[in-house]
Amino acid sequence: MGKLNRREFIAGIAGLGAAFLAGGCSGKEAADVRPATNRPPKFDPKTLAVAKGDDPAKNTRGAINALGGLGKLIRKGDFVVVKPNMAWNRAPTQAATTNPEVIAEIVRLCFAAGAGKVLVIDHIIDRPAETVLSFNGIGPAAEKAGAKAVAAQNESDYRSVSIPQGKMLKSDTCLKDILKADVFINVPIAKDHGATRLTLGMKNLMGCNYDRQAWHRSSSLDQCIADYASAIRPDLVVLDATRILLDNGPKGPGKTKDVNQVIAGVDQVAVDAYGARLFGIKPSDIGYIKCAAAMGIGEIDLSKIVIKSA
Amino acid sequence: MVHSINMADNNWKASRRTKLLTVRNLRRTTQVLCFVGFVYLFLATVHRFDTNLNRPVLPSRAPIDTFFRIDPLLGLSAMLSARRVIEVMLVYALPVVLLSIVAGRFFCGWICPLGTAIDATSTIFFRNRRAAEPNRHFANVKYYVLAAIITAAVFGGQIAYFLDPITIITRAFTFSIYPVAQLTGRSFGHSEFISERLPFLISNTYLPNDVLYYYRLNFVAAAMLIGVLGAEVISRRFWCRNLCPLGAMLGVMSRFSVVRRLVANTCVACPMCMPKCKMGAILDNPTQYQANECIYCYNCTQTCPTLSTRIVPTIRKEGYRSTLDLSRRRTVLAMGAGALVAVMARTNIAAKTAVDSKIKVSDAGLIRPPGSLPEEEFVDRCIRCSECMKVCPTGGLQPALTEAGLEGLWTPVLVPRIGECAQNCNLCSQVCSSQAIQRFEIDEKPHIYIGTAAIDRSLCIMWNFDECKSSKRCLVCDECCSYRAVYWQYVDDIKRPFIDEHKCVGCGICENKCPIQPISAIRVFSYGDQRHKTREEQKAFYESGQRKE
Repeated sequence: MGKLNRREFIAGIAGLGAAFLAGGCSGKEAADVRPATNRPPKFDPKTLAVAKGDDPAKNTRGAINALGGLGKLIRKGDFVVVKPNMAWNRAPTQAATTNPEVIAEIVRLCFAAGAGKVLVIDHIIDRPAETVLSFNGIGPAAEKAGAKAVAAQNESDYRSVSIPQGKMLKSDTCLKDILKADVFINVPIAKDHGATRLTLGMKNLMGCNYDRQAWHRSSSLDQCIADYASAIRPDLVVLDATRILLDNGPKGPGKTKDVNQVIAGVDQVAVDAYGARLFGIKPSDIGYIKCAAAMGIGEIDLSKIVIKSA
Repeated sequence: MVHSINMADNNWKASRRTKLLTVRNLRRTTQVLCFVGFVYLFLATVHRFDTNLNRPVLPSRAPIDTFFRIDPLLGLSAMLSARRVIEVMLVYALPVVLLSIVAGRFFCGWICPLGTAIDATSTIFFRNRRAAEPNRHFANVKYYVLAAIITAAVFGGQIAYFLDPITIITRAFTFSIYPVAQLTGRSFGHSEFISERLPFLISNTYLPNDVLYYYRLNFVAAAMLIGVLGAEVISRRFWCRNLCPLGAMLGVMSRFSVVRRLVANTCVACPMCMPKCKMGAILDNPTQYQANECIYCYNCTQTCPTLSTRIVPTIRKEGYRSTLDLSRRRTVLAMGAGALVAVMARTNIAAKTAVDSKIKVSDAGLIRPPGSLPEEEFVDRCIRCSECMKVCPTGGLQPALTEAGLEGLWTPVLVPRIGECAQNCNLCSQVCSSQAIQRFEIDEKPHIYIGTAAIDRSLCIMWNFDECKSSKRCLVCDECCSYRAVYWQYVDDIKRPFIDEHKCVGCGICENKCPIQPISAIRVFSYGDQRHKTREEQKAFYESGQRKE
């Protein structure tokens, strides 16, 4: 190699710096990219489909088909994001994470409906994330069904979104894959929760956000959850109530109960209201369901909802 | 004596160049392979989950700490200061010891990764500055360093780590190089092209993407390595010649080595081999050399224009010097210094159980990894290799600054605010060569107490709950506790968090996840540490807990 002169040296340094900047060393995109998912619902929002039975996969298939089937939602080649609750280092039997069979079945249904790519993603709390992903069974099950299972642990996996209807939150971050997705399916598990009493569909969306601690610091966690649900609207919510956690939630281990149900719907509030009733709790007693209903995100009164059983 | 030969008439230079299969090239290849092996083992010091075994494993089949096990200086120092035989270190170091008795400082020239890094630095940056003079002015310093280290170990103080070559390079890799590489990879990972098309560049088994490592003392670790490499500006292998205590130890053992440099009487006493000798080991008369300095690099055999020099097994006694020419006064001084350091470190206001175990002068932040030996034995054994901190999947293990006192500098402490002790992990115990962290299984973790959490009610959201004004909700500590040690109870109709001291092992996940900034409202302190008890006693303590689920 020849000797550098001063000019070449400075040019080299500048080039390196530019490469670093182009690589996005700052890691921040402009705030408020776009409201996340405001596509019109493909299924009837006034309908919930509930499937009961011993086989979680069959329940999942039954509930989704009773609603109209994924064929209505997914076009050929679509990019589908599935957001389970897989935050904890717990075995599938402990009911702290979504049942892997439910996830696997949804992935299979997505591909059957023509999806091009299915991503199973969550912001995992316990560490190391890769271990958690394997230990709770969702990673292997999803990969076996053909999806990619990912733990989104870095700030760079998130983008800012505006929350126009928000009362507490005016903007927050969301998994960039959800913002890019053609179809977004939320697959929570119904379980006990310390701070909010129950964690259901809208609470599960908290895992799409990078800094969840901020919501706890805010003056109303329930309002934050409702605000977020007003902007990040899934195209479908599939609530796993195969086995529900009755206490020591959300991580457990605690008492569990085999309810053997899978609930599918588009109306986030209605799904959560139905979920609350599984625990014998009035939906309006769950703060975030009440807040969300007040914001008009969905229907809290289940008597106004058609409940189809599959 | 003829001091020059007619170069023009000789074809020796050209013929040498074409020859690839030489011992020197074999040495170079071995060096590269050993360095690659070292880097591989370093990168493989990483968390991987085996879905079949359902437990965390290391991706390497070879012992991850091979280089520490085979380092006889670390082994000797740890065993002397802990007054225990550490079997793995003994067994693995034995071949190196035998090799050194047979073939002197072979290890330095062929295997040592720091030596290879020094050679590479020298070749790349200091090619034109290599000293031609055989410079051994400070060569004895390393023997005094060695004397100080061993005396300190005899007096119960482990200071080998400070100047041991393997620890110097590993620490620089762990604390300085790896985090920088990770951050650089991450910054390129922001580009959509790499993150979508070439994701393995930023995330694979050896480069986990789910945790970014930050370390204290990264500047110190880097400065030590840079100092060692930069000393090449003074002379080749300056570090190995003058300072390296491991080199000194192997040199001492080479006294009776039977692989020696022999110079045939065809030697024309030209001085060509002298400046080529990395160690300056060839004496004024080129047929003579200092055997305890030779690192078997085969530069002299390769350079010799008359092919008179060979390095071969021999029992001939001429041609070398292997006596140490140490000053008695300085040796005694070094030993005294070592002893003084060991004793003073112990009388430093250390974060340790004092001699009288009732007087526990312990730093609140002295949280050792699970399975750690009682403090005294821990600092005596720990060789500060930084492997546990590299493997820690949350990055929570950090080198101690003041927590463990002067004696415990650079030993691992858990800093929960950076990373908790993950529930499904026992890798720090798997990588510990000196077994300062004793092996444990994951299902033992609920009974291995490394500390206890305490709630700071003046900061806690739920303890400052004013229902009239606020609808704040938290209980994150209760949420994330892996061992059901944090629980809530209604006090004045509000759920408030409490801690069950029988279940809290001090893993620190609550402190890590607590939303209160910048100081967590729930913090782990060392007072719950039960290292002084046996595992059975700790389990009995666990079972004596009264709280019902």
